[in-house]
Amino acid sequence: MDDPLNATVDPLDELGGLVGETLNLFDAPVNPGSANRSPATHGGLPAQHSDSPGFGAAGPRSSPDAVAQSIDLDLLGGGPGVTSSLVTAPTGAPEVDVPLIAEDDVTLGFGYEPPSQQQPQKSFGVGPLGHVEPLSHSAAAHVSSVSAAAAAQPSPRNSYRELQPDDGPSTSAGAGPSTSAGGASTSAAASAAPPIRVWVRDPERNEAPNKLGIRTTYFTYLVRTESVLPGMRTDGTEVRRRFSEFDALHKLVKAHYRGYIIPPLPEKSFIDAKLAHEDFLRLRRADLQAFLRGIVNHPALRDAEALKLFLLQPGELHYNPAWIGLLHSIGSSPDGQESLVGALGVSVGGGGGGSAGAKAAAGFNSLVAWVRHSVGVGGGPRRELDEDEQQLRHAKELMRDLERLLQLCCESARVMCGHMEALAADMYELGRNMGMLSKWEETLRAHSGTYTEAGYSASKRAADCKQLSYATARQHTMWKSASVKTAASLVALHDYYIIMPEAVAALEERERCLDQIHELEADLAAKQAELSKSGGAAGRGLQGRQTQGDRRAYTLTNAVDKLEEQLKVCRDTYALIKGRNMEELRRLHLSREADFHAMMCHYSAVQAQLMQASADMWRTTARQFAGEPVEGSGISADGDSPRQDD
Amino acid sequence: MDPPPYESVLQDHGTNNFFAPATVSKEFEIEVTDPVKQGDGVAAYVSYKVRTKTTHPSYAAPFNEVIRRFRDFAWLHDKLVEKNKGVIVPPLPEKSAVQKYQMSTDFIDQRRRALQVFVNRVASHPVLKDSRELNTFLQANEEAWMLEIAKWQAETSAQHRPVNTAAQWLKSLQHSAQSLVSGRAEEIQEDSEYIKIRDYVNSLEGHLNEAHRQAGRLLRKEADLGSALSEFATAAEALGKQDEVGPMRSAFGCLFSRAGEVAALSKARSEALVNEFAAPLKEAARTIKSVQAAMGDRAAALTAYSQAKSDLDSKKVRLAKLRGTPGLKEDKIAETERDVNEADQRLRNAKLGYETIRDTMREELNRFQKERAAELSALLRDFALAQATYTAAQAKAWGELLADLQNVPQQAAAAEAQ
Repeated sequence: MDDPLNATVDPLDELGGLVGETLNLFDAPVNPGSANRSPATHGGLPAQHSDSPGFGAAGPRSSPDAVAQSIDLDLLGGGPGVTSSLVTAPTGAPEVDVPLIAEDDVTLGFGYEPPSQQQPQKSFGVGPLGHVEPLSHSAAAHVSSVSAAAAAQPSPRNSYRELQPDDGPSTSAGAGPSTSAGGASTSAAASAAPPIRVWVRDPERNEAPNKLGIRTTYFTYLVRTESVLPGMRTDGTEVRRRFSEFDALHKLVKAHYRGYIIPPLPEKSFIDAKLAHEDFLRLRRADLQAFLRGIVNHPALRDAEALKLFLLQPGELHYNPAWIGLLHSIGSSPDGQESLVGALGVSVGGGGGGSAGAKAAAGFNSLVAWVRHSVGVGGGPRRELDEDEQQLRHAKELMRDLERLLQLCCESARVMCGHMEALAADMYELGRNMGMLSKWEETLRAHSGTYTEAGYSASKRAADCKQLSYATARQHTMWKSASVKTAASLVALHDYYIIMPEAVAALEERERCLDQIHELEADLAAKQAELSKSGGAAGRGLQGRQTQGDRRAYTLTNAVDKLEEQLKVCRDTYALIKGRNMEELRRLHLSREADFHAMMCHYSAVQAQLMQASADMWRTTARQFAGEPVEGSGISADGDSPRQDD
Repeated sequence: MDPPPYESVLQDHGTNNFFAPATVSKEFEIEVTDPVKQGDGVAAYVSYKVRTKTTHPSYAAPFNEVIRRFRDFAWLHDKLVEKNKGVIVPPLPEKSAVQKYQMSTDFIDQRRRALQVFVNRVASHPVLKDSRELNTFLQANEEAWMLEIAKWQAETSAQHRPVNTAAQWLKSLQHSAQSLVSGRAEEIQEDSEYIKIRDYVNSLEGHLNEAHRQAGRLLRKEADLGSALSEFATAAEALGKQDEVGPMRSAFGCLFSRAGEVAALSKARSEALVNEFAAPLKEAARTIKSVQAAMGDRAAALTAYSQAKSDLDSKKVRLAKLRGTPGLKEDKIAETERDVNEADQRLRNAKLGYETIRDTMREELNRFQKERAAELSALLRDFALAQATYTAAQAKAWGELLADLQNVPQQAAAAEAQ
């Protein structure tokens, strides 16, 4: 624990260990809450959400009543669960009983209708539930207790990632004890193993006909999971997954955990994937592993239903009913956002009037809504943002700034590593030249004979040149490996750089939800005004018209009720997302702090090590040149300069 | 006496003297200092103070100081080359018209160093140190000096009269035609030992230039790396500033200041290395030029020698013919005999000249090789030492940064505790 430089041995795992330790502070409060709240609403994801087709066929807007209720229960139940389990974390388990699978229904919760059928919901809910519930239950129960050591390595996609020796269980296992590098001094549970550990390995080429019947090549990766959680085999589970399945997992998690910062996935790259370069595969493997680890180590995301399916279900996922169910629940078409808003609009329109229908037709998206809202033409009075909201918006700006700064940093770090490599290359060149020179002098010596004066001096020169050539060759190796290590040590910069857009997305999720609230409030206000007007009219109206007026009033009241109901759901969602946002920001901030700190420790340790090694090497070389011990050179070998056993 | 290595002939060099140059009592200690720009525009030049401290018997005063400009050093060089055929005269720094007009401080300082090396090398050369030219250069007062220079300039302009060169060229052409006609290769050959060394020296130039180029590139890369580092540190500092006061901010602040330190270190060092590593390599390459010039002299002497020999031969043939021809006037024969004698004399002179050069060069080349070995060794050793010190300093800086960084959380914790 005292030797900070152990950290550099296995940078990634080390970082992970550090972060995990720091995050320990949060994990206890965070987990129960997130576990309970995970089956929350969603709907604001522009890219990934859509009207679920399967559900639509079964009668989409007929069931949500029960769902909405279940959500309410869930939220209510979640509340105490969260508070009570803040300290005694593991007790949060009971609330988890609310099936995660209910999320898809929540989608429709916005379009609230009187209860009529619950059948569709069940048809989806039961199958997966029966299968998965034990897992999620037990997972939640354990998460808190074990989460302390979770390596919350946040987001990973980087070309240098590949350099980390994090490839196997043995290396990663060493991460626990060496966490002291950053000085994060939470000692509790520091040595506990993370609850789930995953590795992505062995890219394998496969061929299969695609939808058009053309055979295409794709790669699958071996995903190995080891977990101490009950319900998972401790000796590890291995499945093969392809990129599209990773992608689906990303979408699922993103849809189910609105407001959380989801680890980013590597880009889809059709050309590279087709060419399937060795490098590309290696990078992608590393990126995918980092992505999975990001999810697995996230205090909330690791409870995701989809993750369990992904990690544990054998066989291809698109034949797995539970997986298909999940996919259907979020819909799979990319323009889901629009259709969701559309559905919302229609349902609102059905409840209460033409204006909402017009909105639906206009294909409202949240951006437009936001603009309308912010310029105050939305009809509703311009609302003051409360303090939290303002803070969060400010945080978003900060994130954007941070992204820019990180980009700069990444860029300059890249340049720096490039220079180091170039320097190494030049060292090599110099060494080569010196070697040639040495050989050449050697030839002269051979010509003029060893014992002549010329021969003697030539051999002396040859020896000197050779000496330098050795020295530069060693420098070359040192610098080269140091440039790689430097790059690896600075990988956190890139990690955070790529996570920033995700963070902004998570924050925008909340803003969209707020916009929906404002929309609904505007509608509600309009309806209420209408109601009071018609109520007045009814009071003044004739007897014969009264029934009509009553009917209208009844309809309006109904609509208002529905709107209120929706508003409530929306507000709850908003509160939920806001809570998550703040949690995530706090988590991100702290993990960033720890990660950057560890990164810089690691970085400076690498530099110090390089320089120390170079100094030693040059000193020896100089000694050899002089043929005498060096003295008074001002170099002290015992100084505080760090050493490393690596 | 072993010639001193490059750095040890520099007096003002004290930045990385890990091995203090062995303090042998030297006859000469010469400093070239105080470059002052004189005049303006095209006629501008830089004058230097040349301070001499000597124990040489032919010098009147143990201390002397004169003011010389680059042209005056060139005078010394040319005179020495002219008077000491076969001796490897230390090279002058290049004349660089472009840089001269820029007159940057760096350039002037580099030239000052190079001139100092040059004059010290001359003063430590076993033959050249006793030369009258050096004496004049180091001691002559303003007037005497101006006279010398004027004379020299007149001579050089006379020498370079185009007619003269054309005549010389014609003569040599004639000579080669003669040897063609006579159908014989040149009888007098260089010894094989010398030819080997000549080839060696010729290719050495290429190697040295390559080494110099690479060293320069390496140094530039290091400077680049330094600036990249400081850029990175600046970016990191900006990143740190984005946060409110907290451990991260101070951590990045630490990084920034340390990295600035390191960058300054590497900048200073790469500048120092330009003088301490690249410049000697450059000078070595220039020395090769001097060697080649000496070899040129030797080749010219050899040509003159063989020319004289074939001249004599043809004259002898002619004399024999004349003698064999009856009825010729005696005075004609006497004239030819005189010619033959003259040619013989010339041949003997040429032979002597060539042999002197050859003997001088044998010594010189040995000296040159030995000197090179010593210099190379010292140079590489200094380089290694400079690298060692520099990297150790860097290691220290980074180690301190690491220590700082590790203190940051503790400080933060302490602040919280309070």
